[in-house]
Amino acid sequence: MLINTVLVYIRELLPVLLLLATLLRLQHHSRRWLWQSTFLTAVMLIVLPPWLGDITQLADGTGLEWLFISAHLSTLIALFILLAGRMNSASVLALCAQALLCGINLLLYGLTNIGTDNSTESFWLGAVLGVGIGASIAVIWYQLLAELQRVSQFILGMMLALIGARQGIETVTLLGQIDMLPSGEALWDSSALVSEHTEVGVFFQAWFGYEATPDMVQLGSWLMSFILILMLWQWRRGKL
Amino acid sequence: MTSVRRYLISVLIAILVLTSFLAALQSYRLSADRARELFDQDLQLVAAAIMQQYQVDSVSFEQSMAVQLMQGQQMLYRSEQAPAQAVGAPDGFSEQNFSGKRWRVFVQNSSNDWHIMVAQPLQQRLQLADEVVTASIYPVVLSLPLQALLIWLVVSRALRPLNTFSKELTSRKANELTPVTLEQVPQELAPVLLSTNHLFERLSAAFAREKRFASDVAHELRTPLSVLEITLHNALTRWQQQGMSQTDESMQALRDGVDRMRQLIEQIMLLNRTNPDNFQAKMQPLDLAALCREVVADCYLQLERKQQNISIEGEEHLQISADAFALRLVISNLLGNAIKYTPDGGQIKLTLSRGDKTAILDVSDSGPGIDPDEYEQVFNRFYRIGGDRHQAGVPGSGLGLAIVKDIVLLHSGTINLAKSQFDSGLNVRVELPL
Repeated sequence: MLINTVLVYIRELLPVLLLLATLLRLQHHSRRWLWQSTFLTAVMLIVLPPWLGDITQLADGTGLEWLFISAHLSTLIALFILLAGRMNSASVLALCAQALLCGINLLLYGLTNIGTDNSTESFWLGAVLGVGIGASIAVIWYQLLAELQRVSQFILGMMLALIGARQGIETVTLLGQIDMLPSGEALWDSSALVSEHTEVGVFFQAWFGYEATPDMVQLGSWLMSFILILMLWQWRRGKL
Repeated sequence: MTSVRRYLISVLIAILVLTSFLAALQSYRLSADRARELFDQDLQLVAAAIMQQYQVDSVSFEQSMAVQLMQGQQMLYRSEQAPAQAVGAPDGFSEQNFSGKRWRVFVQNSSNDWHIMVAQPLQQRLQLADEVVTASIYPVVLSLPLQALLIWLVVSRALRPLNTFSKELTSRKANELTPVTLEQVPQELAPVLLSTNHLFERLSAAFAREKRFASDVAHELRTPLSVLEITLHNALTRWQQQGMSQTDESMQALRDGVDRMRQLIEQIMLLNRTNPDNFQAKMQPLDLAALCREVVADCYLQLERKQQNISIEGEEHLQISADAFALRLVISNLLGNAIKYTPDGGQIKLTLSRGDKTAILDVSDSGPGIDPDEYEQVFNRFYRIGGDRHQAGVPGSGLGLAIVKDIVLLHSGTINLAKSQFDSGLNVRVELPL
């Protein structure tokens, strides 16, 4: 229980925190978007939970998956808008979408685990460890980005591209889960090298959407999102 | 700007939390494995005890355990939790489902066809392991706030000399160039402190040299200039006696040049004297309006020569605290400029008013005025609009407004330029605290 909770918290929190760290490095002059995102996320997380049951029932029981797909797509689109120059609104959209995903998943995990089989204590301890590890990685990540930025601004572009690629692969995976896309044969299996159920696997998953057994569609969507964002970054910096 | 303190505290706490929590997780994993081994050993011991005594009743085992003892296909004994049928698990340890639960099962067969199965609910084992192991993680988690507090204290303490040094520098006045002294100087800060103090020392010496230079040069020039003036005067007198024209152009140019040099030397000396770093102001209550009237009276001859109209308007008495010599210099410089640059028959107006805790003096003229882009530059030393000669064709040193600004700043006042209320010209506004 404890290990599971830690991994779930890291998996859900890290994407938001890594995105936040990258956006903070990208626009360290203004913090308006941060307060706007915090406020909007708080409102959404207060308003949405009572409707989660109804949302789940939508579209033949795939409502929640559709909500997640739209959140991932919103983040991806927000990254495109961000690179087109509308930094503030794009940051708010991206951060809200990721925070919503994280909030709903943690809420569902908490609701299904707290109070069952006397595991509440392990749950809370796991949550504290998960939040601590996630937040620490984000702080170190932010400082590491600052150091790397001094070497090359391209690092930031690469980070955005990896975050965008994660949204691409997550969207396709969710579409596969609700049978909107055919699931193909796995191109390789790297679970022996890095399992998705270890801390490192979870970190990679949260960072760039690591998939141990990706199929052609997943790989295609990952590469397409990655290259598109990287090209936009280079175009924005006048190098394309 | 990044803060070293914030950087150190955040990164140190993040590294501490990350390593402690990951270590706690690893320790949890290892302890859970060890607990599992102990539970398995328990199952083995119970099975061995039953096998040795062939009598289940004589063996004490936990009520939660499921036990089956069989000889061939015949069930000799089964505990309450065990199913009526043989579980059918392989020899050794395995995980099986029966009685609506998942069990950790240990099966052992003996040579005389005895067959024993001992099992424990998996959930219960995990729960027990969790209870034992999580207890060891609590101290790690609970001690973190204390560790974070200690890091904050240690980093703050270590950076205190740097903060003191920074405060010492920021609280200094612009002209304070004495060496910085700190009670405790860490090894890393010592070279910075040493270099800063060396810099202050060099700056102080350079400023002193600069101050002395202008004043010394002006002083040194005064004597030969006086000799030159006397000689010129004698030459002119002699030439006049010999019947030569006094208005000879070259002699006139020479006399103008000597006048300009005299004026420049006087201005340099005044600038040095009124410099805020040097000037020892004797503040006393003064009536600004009365002082203006006195200065206007002093300039009467110049005004008369150029047929200019002058007026003083506004407050008849305006009491301020100022240095009489310096303030007279401000008014005479401003009025002198107005007279110089206003054409013959032009208008000059002095207006005195009371602002919010300030006394305001406006000196307006109907001269050619100044381009607003040059408003700031005219206060620079030796700055002359249009080069050496102003467009009005009036010679000057370019030091008058620099002196005025120094004196105004010395009195904690402000000086601003604007367009005059006349059709053309300049308005100089001086605001001094009441």
